[in-house]
Amino acid sequence: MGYVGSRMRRLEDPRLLAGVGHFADDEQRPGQLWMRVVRSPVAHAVLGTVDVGDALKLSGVRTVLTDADISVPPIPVRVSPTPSEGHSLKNWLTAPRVSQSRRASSTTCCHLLARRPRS
Amino acid sequence: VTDDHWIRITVNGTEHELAIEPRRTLADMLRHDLALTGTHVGCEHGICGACTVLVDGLPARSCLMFGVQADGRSVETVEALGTPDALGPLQQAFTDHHGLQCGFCTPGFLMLVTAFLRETPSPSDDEIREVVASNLCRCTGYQGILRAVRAAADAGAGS
Repeated sequence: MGYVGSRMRRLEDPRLLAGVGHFADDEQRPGQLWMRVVRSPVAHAVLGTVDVGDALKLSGVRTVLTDADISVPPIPVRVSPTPSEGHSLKNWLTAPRVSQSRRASSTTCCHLLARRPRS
Repeated sequence: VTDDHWIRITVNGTEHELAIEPRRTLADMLRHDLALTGTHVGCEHGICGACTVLVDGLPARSCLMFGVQADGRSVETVEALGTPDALGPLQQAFTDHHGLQCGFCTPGFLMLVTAFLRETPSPSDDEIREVVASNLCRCTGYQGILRAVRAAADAGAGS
């Protein structure tokens, strides 16, 4: 009986089962900042302005970014299973569309807070 | 908004006195203040169950509890179940039956099932399915988890 078809013991299981695996959220580095993504509570609302004044006053907040601060290229989404050139790809749910059309979806109307962990 | 509250909490048998911000979740308190990063935060709104710990013996979503609400209570986390070199019987069953792949959801499942088997040492397959449906696993398709819980129960892990 060879290895093909037989169960292999996984070397990584013991640490994962004992809670001593290391995932991205377990990373702690000097000067590390934490980011919070704040999303629109309303799908496809019209995005007016984002007032970040109160957020900036919070203790530990280093910066607040909105879509106006970040240049996000169009991200095409295929909306038809039968691709015809230039027709099936739509630039949905991306920041440029927000500013072009002044529409926001739940994934685009966000502002970001970078802050210290204990704030 | 940052007035700390002093709380006294027993975690995995060890008593701690901690000064905790009232808005700190139990999950964050365990991870940041007690360095118990085995408890994982997935969805942060009570759906996925990755953060499940036992509070006074009952499974709880630690992302939906504030740390200050655990004042005076006893909490058990995955770190209490065993070590990599000495896995507990439920942990051993999970690796024997491929009840995990990436391992992110696994601590939550282990705590959920730990409480379940204490309460129901000889469960039916249907009871196992219903309980395991409380938590989300995106890797295994659940079949390995069901076999692992079955095997752990049959081996007397809950008694």
